[in-house]
Parts: sequence; structure tokens; C-alpha cells
Amino acid sequence: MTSAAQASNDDLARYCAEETEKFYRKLLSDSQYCLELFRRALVDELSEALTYVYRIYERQTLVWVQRHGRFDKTGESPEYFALLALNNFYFALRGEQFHRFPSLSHLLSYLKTCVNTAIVQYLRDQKPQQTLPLSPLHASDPDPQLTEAHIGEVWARICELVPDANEQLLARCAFLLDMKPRHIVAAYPQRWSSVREVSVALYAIRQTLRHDKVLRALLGPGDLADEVNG
Amino acid sequence: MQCSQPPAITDNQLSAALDGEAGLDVLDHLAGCTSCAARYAEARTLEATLKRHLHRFGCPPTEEIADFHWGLLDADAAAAVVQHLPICPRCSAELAELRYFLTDDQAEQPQLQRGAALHRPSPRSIQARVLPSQQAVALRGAAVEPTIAEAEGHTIVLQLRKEGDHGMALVGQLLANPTELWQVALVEVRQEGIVQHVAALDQFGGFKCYLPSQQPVDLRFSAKGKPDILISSLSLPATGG
Repeated sequence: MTSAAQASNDDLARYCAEETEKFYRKLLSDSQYCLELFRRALVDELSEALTYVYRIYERQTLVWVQRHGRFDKTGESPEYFALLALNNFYFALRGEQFHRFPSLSHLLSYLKTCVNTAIVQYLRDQKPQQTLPLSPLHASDPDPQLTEAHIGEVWARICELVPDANEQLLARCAFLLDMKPRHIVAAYPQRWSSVREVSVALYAIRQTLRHDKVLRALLGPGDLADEVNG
Repeated sequence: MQCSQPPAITDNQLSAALDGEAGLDVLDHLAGCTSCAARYAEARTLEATLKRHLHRFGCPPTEEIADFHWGLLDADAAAAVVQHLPICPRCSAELAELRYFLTDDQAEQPQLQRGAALHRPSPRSIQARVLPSQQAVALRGAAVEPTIAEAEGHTIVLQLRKEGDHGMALVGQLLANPTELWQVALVEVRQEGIVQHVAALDQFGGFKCYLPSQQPVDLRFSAKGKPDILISSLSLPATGG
């Protein structure tokens, strides 16, 4: 075989595909061709090389998606995440970043990382569902979207109302991370030894937040203010 | 409003109910008492509102946690993640999940997967609408009207040309609005599920590739952090020769 640096893009892709098949069959394989193909795709930004990368590695990426422990929770097709991962791999490693991955195995591990990121971030973006308004008067009110800065103000207010470090951590676990008391105890056994202890502490926090007019105003008008004012 | 089945549910019991820890007696009471049920609904509204707005506030994106694992973050960003992890079981779990996923490195012959479902509609993608031909704008030098598609303020112009020995050349341009959000973008072209071309768009949002046939094409335009723009099963008339 020609050396990787001297091979044409077509030959390089063919050699890469052959060596990849050897790898899957647990035979001795040479990674130089695939590494050079990635280099041409990500550093030289040759579209022909990038096309071959997608063709050769899409199958493996799909397998990784399907083997991810939380893929089934997404309801999306594996192709969606495979292509998202390949795209994000390109965006992350194009140019100088490529040189931070000295071997093919490192590159493929990062591609696999991109699969994990695609799925986990997708699931993370599924926010808790809106509660239906209690009052028919507000049935048509849209769910107010708060800006990042506004959300920061809400959290800052909660921290003011709950200055104790342990209680702030509890508020974070309950409201930001939507964790149940038993999961909070499991995560922080040195701080809380029982579900009861967490529940009692959460009760006190909820009472404090419920009666704070500043917090209610920050959360917006509508059904929340009317209901809490009661 | 008075409790119809005194004694009324205490605030402590309501708090436990919010955590899914209420006893059957509390649940039965809530089912039968309008007054206490209203109090519970009020508490639940506040709880739901807080969780909805504060969801993962302050957590670094999953990609940042991954880059932390790979040592790709600068010192300040890495320090921020180090500070965050002890107070965030979810991010800590994500880091552990990534490390576990990466340790599963068994070589496995991938089962052949075709891109047949590539263009299944996803909430994360925008299906472009191909405009009727009379609304098309002629490209300079083109003998046949190009095909125009529109997707939420973005315009895609496409033309298929016969170029002698090279075969069929697909020329296109994404006119994004605003342009700067799509400055680093990829276009992916498939025919019958096979990747024919993947490339970065040029500075004008343009691309050119050669296709083996005049089969319908599926196109996808991707920019980081943006919904993909899809054009599915597009048959293009060929011009030139």
C-alpha cells in the first residue's frame, strides 16, 4: 500500500474502510489511513475526505447510539443522533483542535463522546411539563418564558430567603434538579440521614418561598399569583 | 373554603404529597375534599413553576462536561466545573455516565444501517418548503430556473447542472437570516440514503458537489446550536451539458 500521506482521497478512504473492517474482525489493523482521512477532513477541510468520514463512520456511530443506555427514552430515530454527533464532532475538532487527539482511538472516543452528548443533552432539554392552570379564568394564559437573567434573579431571591448552605443545596436538588427526597439522601448521606429529615427541611423551605411576595412577583402574574395570594 | 373532612391536611402533609411521599389516607382526603385539594393544587402550582423555570439552571452544558473529561476546557472553565460538580448530583451522574459509556469499547461489527430515516421529521429540524417554480429567481448565468426552498426566513437556492465529464453537479446556496448564525455550517447531500457529499458551506453559504445520478436528493443544512434545515426527496431538473 501507498503511505497515507501520498494516497489520493479515494485510495485513502478505501484503505481506511479495509483497515476498519480488519479492526472489527479483531485482526491486526493499521490506523494511519483513517487518521490521515480525519486529518484531511478536519484540518485541511477537504469535503471529499469529510464525505468519506461520514460514509465510513456513520454505521459505527449508529451502533453507539443504539447501545446508549438512555437512547430509548428519547423517542427519536438513531439516525438523528448519529448525524448530530458527527456534525458536532466536526464543529468541535475542525482546525487546530484536531491536534489534541494524537491517535485514531482518541478521535473515535471523542466521536463516541459526541454520541453521548447528543443523547444526554436532548434528554436534559426536556423540561418539566407545565402544570395546567387551576382557574378557568387563566386557562388561556400562555406559560411566561423567563430570560436567563430573570431566572437568575429568581434563584438569587431563593438564596436570599434560604441562606443556610445545606438548605440552599436542598433547594437546588428539589427545584433545579427535580430530585426526590430519597435520591437526595442517597446523594448526600453525610448531610441528611433520612427521607423524613429531607421532607421536614423541604417543608420549611416551601413555606418560606410560598409567602414571599418578591418571589411571586418574579415568577410572573396570572394563575400563580392569584392562587398563592389566597 | 372549609375542609369538608376535618381535620384538614397539614402543610407538612401537603409538602410530603408534593414529593410523592403522601400516605393513602392523605391521598384519599385530597380526593374527597375540595378545600384541601385546592390548597394542594396551589402548592403544586408553585412547585411546578419553580421547577419549570429553574430546570438545570447553572449547570454547564453536557458538551462542556464532556470537554472537561477530555481536558479541553481552559483553566477557568475547568475550575467552574470542578466547583459545580459537588453541588450537582445530575452533572456528576452525567460525567459518570460518559465515563462508563466510553469504557464499553468492545469492537463490534456494525450492522448495516441505512440513512432511510434521516429525514423523519424531528422537533429539532425544520422541513423546508419548495416554492412553486414561478416564484424562483434566476441565478446569474443559469439557463433554467433554479429551485428555491424556504425555511423560517432562510432561503435555499439549488440547481442541477450537467458538466461534461464530471457528470451532474449540484450547486446550492443557503441564504440564512441572520447570516452570522450560519457562518460555520455543514451541508449533507444524500441519494437513496447514501451520503454523497458533506462539506462546510463557503463564506457565501454556497456549496457544489457532483452526484452519480439524477435520483432525488435529500439535503440537510446544520449549524451548531441551530435546528437543522431539511429538504427531502427533491427531484431537480438538470440544465446545461
